[in-house]
Amino acid sequence: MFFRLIDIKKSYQGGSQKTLVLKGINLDINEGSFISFVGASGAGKSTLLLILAGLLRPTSGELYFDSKKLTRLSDKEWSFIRKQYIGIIFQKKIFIPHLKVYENIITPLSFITDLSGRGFDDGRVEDLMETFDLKAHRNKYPEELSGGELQRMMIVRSLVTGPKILLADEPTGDLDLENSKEIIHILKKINKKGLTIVMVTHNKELALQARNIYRIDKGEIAKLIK
Amino acid sequence: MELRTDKINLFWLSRKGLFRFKTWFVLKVVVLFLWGFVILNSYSLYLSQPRLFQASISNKFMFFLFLLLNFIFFVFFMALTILTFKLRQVEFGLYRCSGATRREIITLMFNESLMLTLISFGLLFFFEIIFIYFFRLEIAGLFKVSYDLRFTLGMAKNFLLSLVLVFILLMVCYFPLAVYYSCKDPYEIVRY
Ligand SMILES: Nc1ncnc2c1ncn2[C@@H]1O[C@H](COP(=O)(O)OP(=O)(O)OP(=O)(O)O)[C@@H](O)[C@H]1O
Ligand SMILES: [Mg+2]
Repeated sequence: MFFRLIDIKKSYQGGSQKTLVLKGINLDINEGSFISFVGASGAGKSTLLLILAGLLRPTSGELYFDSKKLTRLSDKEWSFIRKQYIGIIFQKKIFIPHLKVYENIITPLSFITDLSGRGFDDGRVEDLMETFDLKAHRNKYPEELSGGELQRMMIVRSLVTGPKILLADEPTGDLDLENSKEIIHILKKINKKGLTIVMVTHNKELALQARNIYRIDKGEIAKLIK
Repeated sequence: MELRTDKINLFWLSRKGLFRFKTWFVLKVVVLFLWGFVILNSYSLYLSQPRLFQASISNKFMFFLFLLLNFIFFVFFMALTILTFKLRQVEFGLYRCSGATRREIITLMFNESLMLTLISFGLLFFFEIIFIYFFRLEIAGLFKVSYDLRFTLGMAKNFLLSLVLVFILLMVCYFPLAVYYSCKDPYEIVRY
């Protein structure tokens, strides 16, 4: 067992109105699993993923990681956990426009090892760039990439730190089905090597590629049988 | 759960961050240099010749000019600073999401502020020495004293004191802004 969520609730305060977005999520995420969340827009998928990443605090409920209670950890302790275990692909296309593709990819490494002495594992970066077919684009700026290449850049960036779990919010973005399948295919291969993956997607067909599928509907979670 | 304790070379990283925007960096150094020059020399004058300083300040035009120059440089410097921080916000957000603590980011920004001021001051110091050397007779004449070693030492002391003043001033305007921009909740950056 890796992550355990017990009765996680989350409400957003919008003005004077409070909306309950997650209404008590119970879920176990096992090490090495490949999970996908499907659900309508606004169902709370991204909210759940951001809670797993520690970037958003649940309103109530408990979150455990390796039997360590995370719910009341300080910002600093969460930072350590993110640094060591978690890779994130955001739904929003986030990149640094004034840095080249390679430099964008290694930003998460800045605080992990000594960048000066070529201290980080450059081999992993190169391998990942090879796997995701980005080698030819390393000296381009993100704005010069196609949508699919940009998406792959963000995937590689989430993996360079060697996380144990990948939280991927629409990792295929708005790519066509062919390209999306290609990306999922690679993710599946990485999953086989031991990386736990939690993926959010709109697309049922892509979701089916995962081993476990959950539907999030109006803040509640239900397991779908393939 | 064991935690990785790799040492991070924040100094190197901050140097990198500082030079990344070369044009902005040069502009900031230039503005700091000119601003420092105005403050430094007025303060130095105030320390060595308070009456002469008061006499020039009591001249309305001089006083106005002094305020105006300071204001312009201040506005320029702050605008440049805020713009670069805004540009770098995503970068800070990504650092935070991949495990940098608030404290590490603040240290990074502190290093950057420090380096920026040291570079500008290095230049300023160098320039002042040349300036004083070439105009030593005129300066001595202005202060109605003879040019000797005591005069030179006095100038040097005042100069150093002024340097400390400008340094504090800079850290007071640059560093809090750096903290403000680097410590925003990463959630705000990664979310729509
Ligand atoms: N910061 C916020 N303040 C107020 N309401 C929010 C905030 N963030 C999200 N919400 C609301 O919470 C609900 C769930 O949002 P979330 O982003 O988790 O949905 P989602 O399932 O990821 O949707 P999509 O598939 O469109 O990305 C939405 O109705 C949204 O309007
Ligand atoms: Mg979403």
